[in-house]
Amino acid sequence: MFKNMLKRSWLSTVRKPSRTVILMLVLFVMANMLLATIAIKGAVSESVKYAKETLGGVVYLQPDMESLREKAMANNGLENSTQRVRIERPSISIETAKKIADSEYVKDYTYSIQTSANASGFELVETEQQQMRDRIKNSGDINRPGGASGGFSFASGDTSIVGINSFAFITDVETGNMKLSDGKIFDENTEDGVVVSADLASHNSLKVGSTIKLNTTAETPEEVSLKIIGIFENTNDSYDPNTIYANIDTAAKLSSDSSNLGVQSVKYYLVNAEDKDAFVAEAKAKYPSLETDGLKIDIDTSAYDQMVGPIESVGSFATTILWVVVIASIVIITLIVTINVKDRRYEMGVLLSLGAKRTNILGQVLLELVLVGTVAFALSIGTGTFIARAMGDGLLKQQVAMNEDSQEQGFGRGQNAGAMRGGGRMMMGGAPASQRSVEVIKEIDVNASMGDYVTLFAAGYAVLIVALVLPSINILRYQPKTILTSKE
Amino acid sequence: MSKLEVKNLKHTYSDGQRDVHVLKGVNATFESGKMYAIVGESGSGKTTLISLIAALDKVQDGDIKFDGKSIHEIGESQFRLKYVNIVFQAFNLIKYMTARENVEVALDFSGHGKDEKTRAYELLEHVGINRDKADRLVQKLSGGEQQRVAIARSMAGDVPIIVADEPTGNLDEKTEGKILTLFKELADKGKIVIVVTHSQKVAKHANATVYHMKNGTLIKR
Repeated sequence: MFKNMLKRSWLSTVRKPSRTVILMLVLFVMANMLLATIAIKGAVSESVKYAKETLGGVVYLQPDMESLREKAMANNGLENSTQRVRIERPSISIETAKKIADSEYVKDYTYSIQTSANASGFELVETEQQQMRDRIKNSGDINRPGGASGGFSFASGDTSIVGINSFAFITDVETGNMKLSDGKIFDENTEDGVVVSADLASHNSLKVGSTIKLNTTAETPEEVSLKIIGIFENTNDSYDPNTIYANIDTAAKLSSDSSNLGVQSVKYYLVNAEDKDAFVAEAKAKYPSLETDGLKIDIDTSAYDQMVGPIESVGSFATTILWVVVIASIVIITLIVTINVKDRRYEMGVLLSLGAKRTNILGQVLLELVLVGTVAFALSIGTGTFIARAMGDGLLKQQVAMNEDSQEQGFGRGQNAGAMRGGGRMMMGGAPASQRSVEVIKEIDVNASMGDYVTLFAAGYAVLIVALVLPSINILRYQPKTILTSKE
Repeated sequence: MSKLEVKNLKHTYSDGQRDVHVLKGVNATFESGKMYAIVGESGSGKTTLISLIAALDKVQDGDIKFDGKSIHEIGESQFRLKYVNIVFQAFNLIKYMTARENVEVALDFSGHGKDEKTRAYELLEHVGINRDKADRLVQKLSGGEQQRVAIARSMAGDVPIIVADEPTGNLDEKTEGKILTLFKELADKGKIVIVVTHSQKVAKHANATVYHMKNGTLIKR
């Protein structure tokens, strides 16, 4: 019986070429759009997965600025005011940072302190940052966020000192901009050893093994002698050549208040990104007063949003297109099938009069659609990927441009002034989230996979079945006589 | 001897404004090996009657039985498949198929099995369609040839009842005679052949038992 059904379907398909060609063209266009949107959605999903893996595996312990601002406003009776309030930025004790890091979920962690001191016996490299620092120094103490390496604060010294638990976790080192060119790096046990920039070293004819002196910014300055153990080069345009890197203990010696040493942000690298929630819960259990102390522990969603924002827009746009294509396809194919079935109602009546079951007739029409559809879907495999790439690139470019426009408007309002964009991959430092910058995903690798083809065929056949139902019910609910006489 | 019985058959349809009682209690018995002609004016209910006999429409009131079993009992689709076949005035062949393919479709539905192609050629040969014409699209055949194909198709299932609705209505006199002879042959082979016609001449030519349909009832002449 199936063989006969297939034979009838085949005869109907090949002996009505104009109808078949029209149907095939419609299905081909539909299949291309379906495959394009399915492939784009797949690519978006992969990119988002990559972003989640990259960002999701990093958890930050940092001040909850939003909560602190609200508290400060409330304390000053300024709940509904736009007035600025002074926010005391809480610090995190190194002991707390280490306690939270003592977890099976943590692969590694990093924290840093920023302080400043005054150069003694050597000259700083003249830079824009240095000039700004001098101006600020002359106008009084101030904290200012910004810079490629994240936020830094300085009291009144002319030289920035960054104390970090590992040289490898310096933002520019992580991104590959900063490399040791001579000597060695410090570790937690290095005593009074520092790493300086090649620019600062050459400016003062310093080399590995040289000693530099710095005066603390305390009321009674204390001179600290430090030994250069390494020299680095940094290709980042906005890096500060006068920043000196050391371990936490060495940097603490230069701090004006080493008795109250704390860090402003801790970055935890998880073994598995999926353990984020478990790790956050564990950390909160270890540090119950975390929220009341004005801190929070979470992934940096702003970085994630910034990174995947445009591509997620492409994804949601692709979803909309997918549904539009599916619905439009159902409507168009329903119309074609309706005309086709109406045109063949007498044939259906004849088949019924010969004893054919309604399912057999329905099966024949469906088989015809499947025959034509299979060819159209198969042809679209050759073209769909190209269309998908063109569509994906076009949509992403549009979304990235829109994103950049809105970012620029954001800068205009003074937001996120430290953000930096450029080629390459994500860049992120141990700095607070608000100052962290990531590279927006600007390219989408659209490639239809075997799974996408399977989805295309499944969705295509589903569309054909849905499109067949209405017109067929409309015809086959009648008695054969009604079908035959209405024709006549 | 097989028997087809029509018992107190009533049928009503709506013409949109009112109910039309087209059959008002039809009673008749048709026996195998005989040919019957149902004559009557247009609108008298002839087509409605044979549509019910051919199970193309549902019996509303009354009964149609073949060898004691009603259509309802057998199932309409099954009755069409195994018991009855109909030949239409308009031939009702599937246009995109050849004559042979039209017959093969019926052979397949009847579960003829293997060698449908050869059997289709045989049946067509029997009604006067040679191989050359058998392989042509039915649209390329003349009216008489198309009707022959329709008769060959009706023979495919080897069903006991063959009904024909004005089978010669579209044919010239010479072809009409040949077609009626084919029906007569089918009756001689033991089939119940019921031909609906408005032509008394057709009835006479086929030497058929004539029923006259008038005012929704059937009167044997």
